Amino acid sequence: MNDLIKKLIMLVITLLLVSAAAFITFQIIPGDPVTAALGTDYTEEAAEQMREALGLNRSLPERFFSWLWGAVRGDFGTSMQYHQPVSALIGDRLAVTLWLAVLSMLFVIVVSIPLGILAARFSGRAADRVITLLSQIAMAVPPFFLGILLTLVFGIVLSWFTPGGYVSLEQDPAGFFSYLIWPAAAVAIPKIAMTVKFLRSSVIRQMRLDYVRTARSKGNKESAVLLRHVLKNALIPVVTFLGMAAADVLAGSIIVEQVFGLPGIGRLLVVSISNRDYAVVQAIILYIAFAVVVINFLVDLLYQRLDPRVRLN
Amino acid sequence: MESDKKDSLLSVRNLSVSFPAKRGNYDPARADAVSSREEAGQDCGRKNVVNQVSFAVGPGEIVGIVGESGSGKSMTALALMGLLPEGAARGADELCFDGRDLARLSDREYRELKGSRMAMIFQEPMTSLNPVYTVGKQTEEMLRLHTDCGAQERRQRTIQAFKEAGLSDPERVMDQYPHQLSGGQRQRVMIAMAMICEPALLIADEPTTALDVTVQARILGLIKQLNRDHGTAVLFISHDLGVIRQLCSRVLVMYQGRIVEQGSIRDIFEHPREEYTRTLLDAVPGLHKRSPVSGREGERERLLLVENLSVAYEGNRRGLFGGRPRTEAVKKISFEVYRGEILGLVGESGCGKSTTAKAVAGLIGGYEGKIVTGDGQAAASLRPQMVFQDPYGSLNPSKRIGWILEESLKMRGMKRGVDRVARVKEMLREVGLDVEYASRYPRDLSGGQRQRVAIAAALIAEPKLLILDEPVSALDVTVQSQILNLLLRLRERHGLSYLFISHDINVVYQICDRVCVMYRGEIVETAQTMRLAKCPEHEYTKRLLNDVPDA
Repeated sequence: MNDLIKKLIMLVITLLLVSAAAFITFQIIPGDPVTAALGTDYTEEAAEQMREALGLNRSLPERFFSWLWGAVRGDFGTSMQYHQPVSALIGDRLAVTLWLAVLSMLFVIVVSIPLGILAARFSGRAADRVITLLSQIAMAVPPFFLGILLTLVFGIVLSWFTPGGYVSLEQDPAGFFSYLIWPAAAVAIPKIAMTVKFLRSSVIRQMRLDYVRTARSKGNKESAVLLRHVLKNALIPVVTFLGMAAADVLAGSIIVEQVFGLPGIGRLLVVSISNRDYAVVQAIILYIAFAVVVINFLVDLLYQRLDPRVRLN
Repeated sequence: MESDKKDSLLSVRNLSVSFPAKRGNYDPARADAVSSREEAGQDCGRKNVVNQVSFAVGPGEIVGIVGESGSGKSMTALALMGLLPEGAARGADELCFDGRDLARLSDREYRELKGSRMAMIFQEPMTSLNPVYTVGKQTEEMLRLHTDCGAQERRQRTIQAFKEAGLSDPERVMDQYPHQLSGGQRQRVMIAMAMICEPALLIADEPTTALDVTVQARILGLIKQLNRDHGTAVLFISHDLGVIRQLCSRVLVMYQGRIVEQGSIRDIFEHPREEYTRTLLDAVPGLHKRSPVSGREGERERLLLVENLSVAYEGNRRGLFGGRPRTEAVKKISFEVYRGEILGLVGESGCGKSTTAKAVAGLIGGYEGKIVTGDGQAAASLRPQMVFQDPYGSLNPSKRIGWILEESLKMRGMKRGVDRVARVKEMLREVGLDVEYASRYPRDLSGGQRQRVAIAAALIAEPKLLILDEPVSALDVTVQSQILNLLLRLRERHGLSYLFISHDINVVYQICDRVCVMYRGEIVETAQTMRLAKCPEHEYTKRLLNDVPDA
């Protein structure tokens, strides 16, 4: 329990540091958002007026703390580009990114764990060779190409979905999910390949340990040795990797969103950076940091569930 | 033969185990024992690690198999249990257990036999248990596999088995994980697990080798008691002749995959017929093998003085603002080493002997007390060097032997490569290795050869004091005795002093002039070796010496 509180405090401190870094960076880098917003209408007075209205003429710490206080209440200011509250802007896209993340991680777990075990069980034999070859290929294909390939094969040739036919969750939940399967697959496939490789070698490493011999000496079937004794041990290092993959997916995949025409966080981030829409960029950075920190926290908890040796009393 | 078969629980005739003879499978640790392929008897590209072995075990009998690493004793056991590693093949004219032919059993029938009628315990209780499940759950698994007991009954029987294996507070142990238990407790769990289905045969593969003497004595007592109470036959495998003599009624001596001699304990130990058995018995360390130069009282010039040495380790911080708990590994110990002396430091694991060694060698700082030379200078002026237990782990596997030896010469500023190479060659000869070993890698060497390299690496820095931390514990008896002789010879030639750390009293008896006995971070007794052996004073020393099996 004590440990949990300690971790939560660390989580808050991390977020504070990241938010400060994000805020200060955008104050330092050259380029003035007011100038960018006014464009050809730029005059000294208009700029001054705008700074006044946006509170940009206050001191740096003052502005940081008022921004932070807003952020805590869910108010990230207004987007200069879209002229709407940042929280609403991100909220819509976040739903898409989150569902994409959930779906693709589900794919990763459901597909890679059985495949990894299978490859290890029959290591060196045909099943292992096929799985290893496929994951080698899947790892080498760039994600955008994978997206195009999926669109071509399943969208155009087989007509299992309409390319570019994204519908929002509110409009048509069934349509939303049946469309989301494809970008989720594009995101998941390289990660599946890596997880399979990782799990395979982890299982093989475990199979050489003494406790496996003990399990066999008890009269366990080979499948029971693998599933009841080895799997939990073998998953311990894999969980760290899955955590990193999850954090990666949560940050939004710009390329896959682009290929499949999804209004997700990744695309918003790219557009906002090029338009110097700092309020949006800061909010997204904070969200990504939050996602990474929370995932790490969850991985730690899961680690303790799996491995009693790291459990602290 | 027919009657023999009826009487015995297990009868084995001409059992062989072979591996594909691949160059990649070459294991230098076994190179000493199984020397060449022709000698081990090879048929169509396979190498026999067990060769035409025949023996029998009667019901309730305790039979020992003794031999050095690579002699095939473990492979014999694994072959009986059907646990041979991948690629190994088993062949036998007869393999009869409990009235059934093991060679004809289906996979399912063999599985049903394993754990219920024949069970096995292993050397490393640390790694033989699954780290992520409670020991209660792992023990219960036996009952789940072999009986129809309900959850409640399984729990009751597990607690009962733990109690019988001598685990205090068995209910609490049920819910503990292996890492929360001591080595002795883990081996008790393994025994409880093996015995819970009341097997007719228990195969024990070096079950006490990784344990302290006092714990070893208790585990051996437990095995003997279970054998008496349940009539379980035991096939006990060990490299330790003392342990075998203490426990078994009959013994098989194995060498290079064959049984060279078998007979009653009395016959083998008192009237060995075969040359190899005699070599093995002669190599056993102990008081009887003390060389006449040991224990002499020469000039008593103090080389090293350790006064009130205390070392504490800091644990993990408790909570966010809590302090770090301190564990005192060594508490205010004082001792001295004389010039040309071998001072033994004995005690069980965790008694602080290795910590003391590291402090003297200057490998850890932050201690309290004084570590100085006889004339009050810093101990570093003795250039103390260490030799460690594990000759596999303590040599960099990616460097050639020559490079490893040269390194300390480079650091001492020997600029010319020719000089360094000459010195390395000289040193290799000194420790009894051929000079061509300079161009080999550690993996090409056997355990004994590696330990010679480790000693050479320490000596090349020209120390006045050598600190040896369990230098022969990982070696076979015959190799062990060679290394001990080497150490004695090097001391004579260079006037060296040794701080010799060991948990093996017999080794200490053989080589040390004086002995310090450590217990829970303190030195409880210091005495001349002969005096300690004859009339130990401290209670703990008496207990420790009492538990030493004598071959």
